[in-house]
Amino acid sequence: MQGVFPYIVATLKCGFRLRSLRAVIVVAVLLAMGSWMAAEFSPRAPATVSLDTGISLIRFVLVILALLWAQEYFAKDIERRAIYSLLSQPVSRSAYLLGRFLGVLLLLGGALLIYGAVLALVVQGELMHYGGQRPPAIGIPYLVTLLGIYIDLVVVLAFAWLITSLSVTPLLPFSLGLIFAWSAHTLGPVLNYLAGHSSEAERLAPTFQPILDLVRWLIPDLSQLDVRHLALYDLPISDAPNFVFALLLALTYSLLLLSLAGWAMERREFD
Amino acid sequence: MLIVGLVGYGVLQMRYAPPAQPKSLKLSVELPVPMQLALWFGDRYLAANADFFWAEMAATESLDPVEAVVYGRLLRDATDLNPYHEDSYYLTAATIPWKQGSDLNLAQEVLQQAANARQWDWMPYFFFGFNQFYFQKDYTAAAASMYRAAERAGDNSEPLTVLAGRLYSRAAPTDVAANALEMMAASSHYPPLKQYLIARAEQVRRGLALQSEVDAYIARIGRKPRSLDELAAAGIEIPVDPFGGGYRLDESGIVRVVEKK
Repeated sequence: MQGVFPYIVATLKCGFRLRSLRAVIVVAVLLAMGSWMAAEFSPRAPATVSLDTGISLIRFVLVILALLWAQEYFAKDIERRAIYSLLSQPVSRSAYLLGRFLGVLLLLGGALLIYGAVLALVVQGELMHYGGQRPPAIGIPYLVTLLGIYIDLVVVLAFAWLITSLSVTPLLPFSLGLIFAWSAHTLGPVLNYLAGHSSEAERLAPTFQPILDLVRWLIPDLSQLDVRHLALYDLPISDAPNFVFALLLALTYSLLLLSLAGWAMERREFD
Repeated sequence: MLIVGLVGYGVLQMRYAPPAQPKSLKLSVELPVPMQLALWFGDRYLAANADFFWAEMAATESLDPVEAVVYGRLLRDATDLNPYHEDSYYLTAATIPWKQGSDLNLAQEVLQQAANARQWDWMPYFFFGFNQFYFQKDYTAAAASMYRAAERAGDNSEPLTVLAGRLYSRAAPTDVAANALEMMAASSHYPPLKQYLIARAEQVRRGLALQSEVDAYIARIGRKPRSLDELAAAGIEIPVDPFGGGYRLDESGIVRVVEKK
């Protein structure tokens, strides 16, 4: 698609501004401190718990960052009416939409790599003290885990893009995006729990199962993309049998959301 | 004025200081798992860690009955949420069976779940077997669990297999125990261990033969013999224990092995 590339570059240039970089670095320092402190609570597997907590922090922080950047690089273009000058250029609205989207995705990829590297260093430091019975694997399984987090972000960002292309206020994509990410992360583990045999699950299932089975069709189960157990316990990829399926599901869902966003954007009338 | 103000304020503060709060329960509430997941942004690993950290802080405290229940459930929830969690099963094994009025079944449930998930780890089965031996006095089941632990234990496999053998022979002699010991011997590649297990199996087989003599004697005479000497006096051959300890009869008329001192 013609005209996408300049928007990617423009978004990246904005992303490398001091304020964004400073935010990423501050979060990286907090991540290192948080994951290091979590290890102190573990009597048997400090490196594993450090990695575990660090991945939880990365996953949450990047969702927030994705939504903030969606607000900053797309929603505020509309709010500040900067979009008029952008759209007066001879490129399609879809090119602008996709260019901004890919630009933010690249920024998120950069932040993910920084956080992933910081966390790997903290875990290596822990491993030098005590490896435990089965040390975590900071290799291919860790990279696969980071890939899962990245695809998770693609979906959340695509949702924020769709809402932004429809909404008139920049706060709506952030708040709805957060609710969407929360639902998509919580749905799978709750369904799994309800499918279990505990007495509590059997008590709750008749009420919630039908509703959640319906929600499952509207919101993808992003918990399937969280395959950190491969890295935490050095397990083969076959121990995450649904991962490839979950990747494809997430990507096709994102494509659907982006297509809808493009369609809405093409038809939108700006005052 | 300043002094009057300070003194007056100080006196009134002391007088109206809120009374000391009674000790609050540290573990009074356990949220249902779906609510925990909702609270932790759907992150089951984080929810498991939170449950464990919370339980860990109370692990060395003396808990009242309500807190003890919540404590156990926190560790169970942590294992439900992340069955691979090493600290959860370890803390469970180290504390729950030993606490007054604790729920041993819950501890066994946690250990079984950990053993199923952590296929490389021998310790969940070891603790599971230990609880069967020490708290439930089920030697045959304990021996089977110890052997499962031995199969995963790598360098620790030999002492665990020996322990499983001892537990089998400590139980009332049964075909199950003898067969299990023979199977363990067949799959052992270390000759001294193989010999040891064969001897244990023989010890159980001889105990089993003696048990049928005892049962026949009871059917014939109509009462339990007072000791094995009574059987010997009646012309029944008392087998020799391959380990040199011997056999005895317990109060229920069951043959038991006497370990050599």
